[in-house]
Amino acid sequence: MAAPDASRKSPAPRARTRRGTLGHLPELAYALAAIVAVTALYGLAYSQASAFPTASSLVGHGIGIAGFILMLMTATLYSLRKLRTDARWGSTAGWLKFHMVTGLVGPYMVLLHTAMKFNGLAGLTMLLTVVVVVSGIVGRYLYTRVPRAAQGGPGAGDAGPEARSRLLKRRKRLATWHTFHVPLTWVLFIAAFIHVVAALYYATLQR
Amino acid sequence: MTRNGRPGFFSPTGIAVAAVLVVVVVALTVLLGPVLFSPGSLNAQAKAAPLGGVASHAQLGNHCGACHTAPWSSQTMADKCMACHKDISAEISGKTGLHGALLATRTPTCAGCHPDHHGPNGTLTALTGSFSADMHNSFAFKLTGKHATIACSACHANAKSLQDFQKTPQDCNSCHAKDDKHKGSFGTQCGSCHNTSGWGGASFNHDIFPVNHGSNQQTATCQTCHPSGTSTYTCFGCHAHTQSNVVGQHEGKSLSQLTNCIQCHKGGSGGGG
Repeated sequence: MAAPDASRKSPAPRARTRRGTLGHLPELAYALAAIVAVTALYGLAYSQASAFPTASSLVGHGIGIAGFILMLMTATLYSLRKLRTDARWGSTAGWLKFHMVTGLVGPYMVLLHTAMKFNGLAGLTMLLTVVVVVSGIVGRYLYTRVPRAAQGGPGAGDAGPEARSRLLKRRKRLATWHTFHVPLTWVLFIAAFIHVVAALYYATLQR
Repeated sequence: MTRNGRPGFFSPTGIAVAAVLVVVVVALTVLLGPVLFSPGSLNAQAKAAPLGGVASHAQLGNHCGACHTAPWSSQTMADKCMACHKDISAEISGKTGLHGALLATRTPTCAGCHPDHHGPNGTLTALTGSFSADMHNSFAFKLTGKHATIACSACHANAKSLQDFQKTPQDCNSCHAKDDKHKGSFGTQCGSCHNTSGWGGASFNHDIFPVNHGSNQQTATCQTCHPSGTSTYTCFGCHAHTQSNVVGQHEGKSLSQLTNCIQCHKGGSGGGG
């Protein structure tokens, strides 16, 4: 997991180095490592059962609950950190990495929970999860390329009025993206909540 | 994206859209039944005689309450099963038949072994779940040794019905022919030497005839006496036992009468009886 980095200063200017793609994007490396580990454990259960562990099995339930908790952390912790003005709880950049890691690993675990069956509201919930993840990737890797200089951040002194105006427009587009990403997440979690209640009623608590 | 000191995930638009979803789900459930919560289609394998008014679970449609009970209800899901499957109920209460034997010592739920929602042609008897090796020991074919630890599907591949399970071969060779290092030369009765703990540690019992029959040297291999497999044997071809010698030593008898040497030479030595 990407531990929030309290000592992180302002990001250094982008520069091409000899580090690979994952070197530039350590959160992807962390997420990939976690996904490989989860896949290995899941593969063990798969080989023992000679089939995908069903969603209601111990492995299926466990991986679904763990993935859902990671998704809840994804949806809340980064936003809550941004409420804080001090760096005691780590940098926002560090929490964004955490948001990315849990936002990739959690949905992957939930995908395994489905045992590749996508019926009814549960299937819709999985579809929404994919949409929100794709939306998050778009937001992280396309819109955050827009420098914050327009808001008076690093490099603001170098920008002329026209450049600042262009940046402001791009930042507005970022805000537009956010108005899609967050409501989609709400719909996803409400759908997931209904799915959990229905699963408890029709399956887990059945005697 | 903090506005007015609220966290970024607090989105009035999001809450509004989520509320719309709740309304849609409730409306669909009221209009169509709880179809949105079904994990898959019900089984369509039809019984010859309808039970509970339907020939298959699929005919129950969206009437989920036909099988599912509220968690707080005193009625269990098994009660619902037994209400239609009265033959199974009679087996269990009378401790007769398959289910009577299976449930003599255990009380799993019906759904533990008989899932549904796996499509019209899905299995109605799970190869995983609450069925256990010791329950299988209620049957003639006991699960011991390694048989008790392998996946059910190793023997019951693609079994979907009781008839499929009953068709499972019970002789060793049907499953283990590919494992036979003797290439069939020792026949198909693996259990004569091997047990279910593994292929190693086979017990070789040749009490029927002393392998060396008097010789101090272990020179005979299995193929010496059993060139065509262990179900037959021959003494011809071993040192002095050529066909002409044997015929010469048994005056008045033809070769065809001299193939079962052990009948007279029980210990393998001369004399006979």
